[in-house]
Amino acid sequence: MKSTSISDEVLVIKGLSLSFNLSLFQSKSIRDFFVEFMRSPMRFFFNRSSKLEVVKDLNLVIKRGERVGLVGKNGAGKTSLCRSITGMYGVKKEIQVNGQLRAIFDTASVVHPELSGRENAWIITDIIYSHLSKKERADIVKDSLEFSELKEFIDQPFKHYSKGMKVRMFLSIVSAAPCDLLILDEVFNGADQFFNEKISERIKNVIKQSGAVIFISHSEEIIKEVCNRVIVLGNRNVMFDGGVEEGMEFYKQRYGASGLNEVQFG
Amino acid sequence: MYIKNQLTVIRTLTLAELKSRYRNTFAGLLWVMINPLILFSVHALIFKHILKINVDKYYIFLLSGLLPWIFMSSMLGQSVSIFITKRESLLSFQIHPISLIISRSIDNFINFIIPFTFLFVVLYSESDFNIIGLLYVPLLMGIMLIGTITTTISLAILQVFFRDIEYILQFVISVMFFLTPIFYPRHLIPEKYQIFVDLNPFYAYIRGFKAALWEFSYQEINTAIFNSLIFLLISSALSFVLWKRFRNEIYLNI
Repeated sequence: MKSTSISDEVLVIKGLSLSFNLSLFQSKSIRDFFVEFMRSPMRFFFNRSSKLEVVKDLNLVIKRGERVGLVGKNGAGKTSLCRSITGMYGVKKEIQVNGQLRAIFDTASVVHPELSGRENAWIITDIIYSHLSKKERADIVKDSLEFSELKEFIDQPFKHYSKGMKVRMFLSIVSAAPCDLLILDEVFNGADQFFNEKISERIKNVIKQSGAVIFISHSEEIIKEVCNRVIVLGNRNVMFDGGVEEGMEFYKQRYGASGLNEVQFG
Repeated sequence: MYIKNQLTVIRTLTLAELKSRYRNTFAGLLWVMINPLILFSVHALIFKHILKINVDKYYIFLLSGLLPWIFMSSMLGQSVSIFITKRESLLSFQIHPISLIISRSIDNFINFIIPFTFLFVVLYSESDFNIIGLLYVPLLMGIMLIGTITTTISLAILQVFFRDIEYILQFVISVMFFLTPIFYPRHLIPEKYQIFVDLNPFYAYIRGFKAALWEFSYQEINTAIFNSLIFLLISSALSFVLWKRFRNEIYLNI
């Protein structure tokens, strides 16, 4: 039996619980808040503690070399779990990441629509690769802009880009260099067919080179091609953790194939 | 490591804000100066020459209140919805939400410093001034900057859950402009109402600038610094409590 040391563990989660205060979704303006208070002051003060539990006492270890497909119904907490791992939410002591983490939750994000594509490429690179030197970041910008094939559009304001063009540039930057733990959340949405084939090869390469990957997707085909482990999330915890074929079978038996779409990968 | 990365993010976002504002041109810089210059000219014309307010060194008096006011009010007005307008960035990257506010405030602060320095150099060349008062200015600027950042954090968090905060803020800012002794001196207010002026957080920060640059006295400037530190403490505590309480829910509501 092959043994693994602690240094192989890229991500360790011990007893993670995450909940949101549901009452905060009820009031959308000070006026609503005031009306609610005037209508029933007692209820206003004593009935505002409902909680939405996303995950409860979740334990998870991801080791170097693992490419984990994270699947679950909409609202199962996949993105929330990944955001917790990045430190976006205030839960840090339960989560230990050994190494450099990079997480991408959208493919067409823009930081400054008024600035050009090139300027935004620099901004996105500085944000995503903030741990690298300026020279390394410059190389990433140069390589990504060439790869994206945006050519004469590269110095046009980013606000004039189509969704497909934004995705081209964004994915080119994101897939430019590997890291220790890479989190990709539905990254294949929005790219046009031609570029999808080209970028998918690049993303597959960065996935292979990265220490470990968490990959959120509703596409069975993509998960089967990319991942070597599947985790099914549901009922606020891990419902299945194992091989890809068994994991997808478990998911389909549990929820049917309706949650899986037909996104093509490369 | 996380803090170092966030500092890089703040620097990047600040440069992006500055680049967007100035567009790397001298004309962009001039454009930034025009707004405070017009406001200053209009106020000087109305209150000095039409209403004939009898205040010694009125231009200095007006500028020392008007420029900090422009910084605070424009920072609050521009940033109260920042978590919502920048939702794509917040939901896509590992950007700390407060980094967005800090970078926006540094951009506004630079925007404040440029006309402040320029106009005061021009005006001081023509009048006497107290060098000790000038030495207090960096401290006053620091207190005002942090106080504005922490107040903005609180309002930006509340705006995520109560979407009419920005409209209420616009109204409050327009009212507070007249209730804050910016273009008139505090001593013109009847003594029984002066307590309300002292409870005005805008005035707490502006008062120090007036004490340092217009009519310097140790007693006045120490009182101003003490009052502004109290407001700074309150706004810091409030922003800390709101952040701790609502930081997760921000991501769901933006």
